[in-house]
Amino acid sequence: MDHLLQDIVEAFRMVVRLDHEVLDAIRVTVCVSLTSTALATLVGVPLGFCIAVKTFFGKRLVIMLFQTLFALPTVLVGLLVMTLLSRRGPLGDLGLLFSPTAIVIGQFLLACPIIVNLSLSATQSIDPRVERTARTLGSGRLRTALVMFREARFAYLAAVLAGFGRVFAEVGVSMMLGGNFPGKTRTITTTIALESSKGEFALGIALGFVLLFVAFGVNIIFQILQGRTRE
Amino acid sequence: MKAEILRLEGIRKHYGSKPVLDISELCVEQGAVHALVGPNGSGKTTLLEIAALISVPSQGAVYILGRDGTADETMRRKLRREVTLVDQNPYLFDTTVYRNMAFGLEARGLEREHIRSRVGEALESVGLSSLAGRRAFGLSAGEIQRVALARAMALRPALLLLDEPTANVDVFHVQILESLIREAVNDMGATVMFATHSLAQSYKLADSIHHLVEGRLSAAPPENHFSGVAEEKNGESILRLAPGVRVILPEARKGQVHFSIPPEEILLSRQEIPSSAPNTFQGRVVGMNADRRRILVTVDVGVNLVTVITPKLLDDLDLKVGDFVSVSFKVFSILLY
Repeated sequence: MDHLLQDIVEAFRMVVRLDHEVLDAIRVTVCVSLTSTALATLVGVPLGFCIAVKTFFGKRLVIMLFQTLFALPTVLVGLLVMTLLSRRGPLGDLGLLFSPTAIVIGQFLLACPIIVNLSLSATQSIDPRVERTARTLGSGRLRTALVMFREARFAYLAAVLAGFGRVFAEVGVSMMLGGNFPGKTRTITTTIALESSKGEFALGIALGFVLLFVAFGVNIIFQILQGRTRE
Repeated sequence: MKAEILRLEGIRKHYGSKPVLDISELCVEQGAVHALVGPNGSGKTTLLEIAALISVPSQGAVYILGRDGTADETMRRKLRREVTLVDQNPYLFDTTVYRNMAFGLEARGLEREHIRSRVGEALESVGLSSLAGRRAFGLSAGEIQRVALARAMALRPALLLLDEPTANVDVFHVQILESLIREAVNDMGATVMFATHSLAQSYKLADSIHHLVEGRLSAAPPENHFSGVAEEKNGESILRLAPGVRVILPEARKGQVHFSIPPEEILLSRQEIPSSAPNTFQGRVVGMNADRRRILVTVDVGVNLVTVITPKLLDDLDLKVGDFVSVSFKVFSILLY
């Protein structure tokens, strides 16, 4: 019990004095998570919107596929991307394995289905009068799409935050594709896993605080945005 | 003769297998107020949507200013800018009133200064200039309706279509909206076509009235509709419909009046019954038509009066064309326009 208390106290100290290991892990995590979420947003939001508004053959199947990918295990994504990026894999010549780019690719695949699904739901929940009103006012397709997007902006932002929350806290992809190199690919979660396995709980607990703090912050923003969407 | 702004030809619209609209021809002349009158579910909204080119008919053609809006998508988009539809329950975008007003003008590529002056004028015309900076979601139903009308008027469309424009507003706002509709025609030179289930409103506002019954245009005016010059006698307003046929009106009116008597308010009997109804007439049955579960009986009392009875009553009275009957109705069953 004393050891646990000592570790917690030490963890607080590490956070307060901005320990360089803590800062490195936060920097790497924030960089790869923001990059992968930004890329997944660029693809996922327009894709979710298009799937919702367009009528096409196999639409139900596509929606079911994305809903299945919603709960994609991180180790499966890690394994898939590792197969592609390993030396003997089709993209092995690019030399991306165990680099931040590899983590970004893996996290992109994790975040994308979440953002697509939630953007699709956001689009489907837009009042049908928005499109109708825009058209009666003489708006073309692009302007109509933009005004629809604007009306549900908080719901789309919530989709992006959900995607960010997923990749920020994941461990499987970062571990398998990043290789856990300090200051380069070592993220908050992989540091926690590594330090805990060595019996060094203080750093793990310190980073755990950071993760909790970020998760709490994202959740607060998510709740506020959901509230605004419902108003 | 004035130019045509809208012509519907051979329009049919089905939702699934259910036909909702069947219009062989409808012409709307430029620069007037046109009312589309019919009960709920008669196809008014569907007709307006087709006229606004936001709904494609299952069959037929829509001509706006002589050009076929059903020919192809490019023409439809072009002509859509000549017509604006304001819904019964209009939607204002989640932004300021000003941005809402500017939306259609921006879509037309107008310059910022031009947009500002148009929005200002339109808001002033509906008396809501002070609301320009307000968020639309905080407005009352009456204000939403006025902003939606102003948003449409700011576009200066050749044809302004209004679906039940006063359905969701209080009496005070009804008067404001009605005067705005007239102003749209008189000041802007627009053509307005509005849907309503209120015959009174259509007579008050419209230059021409189109009756829509179960998706079809009805050439006949509503049953028991009369007009004439009212005179006052012994404190009562009286209208002479034919020699010996004088109707006592429910309120003091002088001069030209329009009124109707709902067929279900007219009592039909074999003989005259002493009652509180002062408008009692004798006449001969000249027609009987079955309409769903009702029998419409037309009685010639000097003018034709249509009354409605059940099939059972028809049997009980043993009524035939040519029989003499008595019809009566209360003063307060008369709808004055």
